[in-house]
Amino acid sequence: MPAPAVSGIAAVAIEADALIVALRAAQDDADKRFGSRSLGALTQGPGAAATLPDRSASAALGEYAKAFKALQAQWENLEADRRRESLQRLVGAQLQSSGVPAVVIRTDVTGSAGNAGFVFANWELVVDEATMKWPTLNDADAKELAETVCRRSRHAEQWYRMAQMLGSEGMSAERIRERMGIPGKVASAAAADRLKPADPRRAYAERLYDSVYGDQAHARQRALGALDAAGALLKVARYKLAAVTNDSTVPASLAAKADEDFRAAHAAFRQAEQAYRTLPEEADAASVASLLRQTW
Amino acid sequence: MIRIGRDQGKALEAASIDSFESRMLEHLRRHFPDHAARLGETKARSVVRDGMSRSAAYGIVSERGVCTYIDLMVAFGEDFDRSPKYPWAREILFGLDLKSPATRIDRLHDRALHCLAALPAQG
Repeated sequence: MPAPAVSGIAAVAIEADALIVALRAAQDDADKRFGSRSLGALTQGPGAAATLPDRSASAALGEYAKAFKALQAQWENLEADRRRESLQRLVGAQLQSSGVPAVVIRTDVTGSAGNAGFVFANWELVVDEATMKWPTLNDADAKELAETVCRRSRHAEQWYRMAQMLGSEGMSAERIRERMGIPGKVASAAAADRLKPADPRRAYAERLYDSVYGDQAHARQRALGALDAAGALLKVARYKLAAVTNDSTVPASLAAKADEDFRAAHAAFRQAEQAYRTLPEEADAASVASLLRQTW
Repeated sequence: MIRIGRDQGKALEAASIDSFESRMLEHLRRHFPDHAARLGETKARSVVRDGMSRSAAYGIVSERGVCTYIDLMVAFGEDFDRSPKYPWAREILFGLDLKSPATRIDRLHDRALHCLAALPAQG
């Protein structure tokens, strides 16, 4: 019985098994010969300059990846709460290696599989509750979750560096807490752990502070607001498209219009997403996640 | 300190794209020799450029990500992202979540392999 074939570009049909082999080899080649460097100026926003080169980051991420893979191996034998505790330990160890206070890992309904977010007001990392209840964690999901958690926990480091920077300028812990809205114990730790003037992390923290709390804060709020709005519009466009697609009585012209509207909403969402990704704190977190991918 | 002017920046960007195109053509010849031979250099170059543009619309702009996106175009057809035959592609590329583009392209590649593995054998 011949293997099924897929006809790709140039109308060349290849047996599925052979195509799997070719795609895997091509992916290995892409990993080796094509890096994370961006083509063109699409991702070169104000964020790139905020990234902090950290010689120890690679080693710490290696440890993190190793610990995450160990958690993945144990995943199906652990209850959701034990998984959360394990995650808390490995994220805590990573932050500790950078001198950053540990975050509390909390699970909640996020509506998106594999999602996580840093809540600086509570110094918490919120991880998608449903994800933590998955019976197993395959390789792709483990890598994806590890990357998301790593990216979000980088925000804890960013907020701590900003607090340290304010402490270095002589601001008290109480004022740091008020100015940044972070917990008092984190502000106190930062105020007692100042950055020296020549420390490169200080310039990095200044750049982040400018984006989040300083001169660029309004632009940041606009970018975040635009992303939320574009997401909401895309949801609406998607529902409308689904409704007409599943209804054979809808005239073709209306279906085409719904498809056109969906594509326009999607393009607007990606544009808003791009602006979000060039925010200094997001670009920096993404660069660390990229390093993790290379380490993984 | 070395300063790079706007024109020099554009020239560097163009050189970077040219370099990517050349490496991408070599990559296609190596991994998809039949497709590359059928396309010929001019059409293959056009496919690469089209792939860069299409993947950018999905926020995929890293060299690695664009390379994988073009591999999938070659394997499944240039419109695989909107083909009803491959709903997984649409689901991932038009998704609302804020997973990184690198994660999205890995997920796409993963689902493509699963799709091929699940194809029913032909009698």
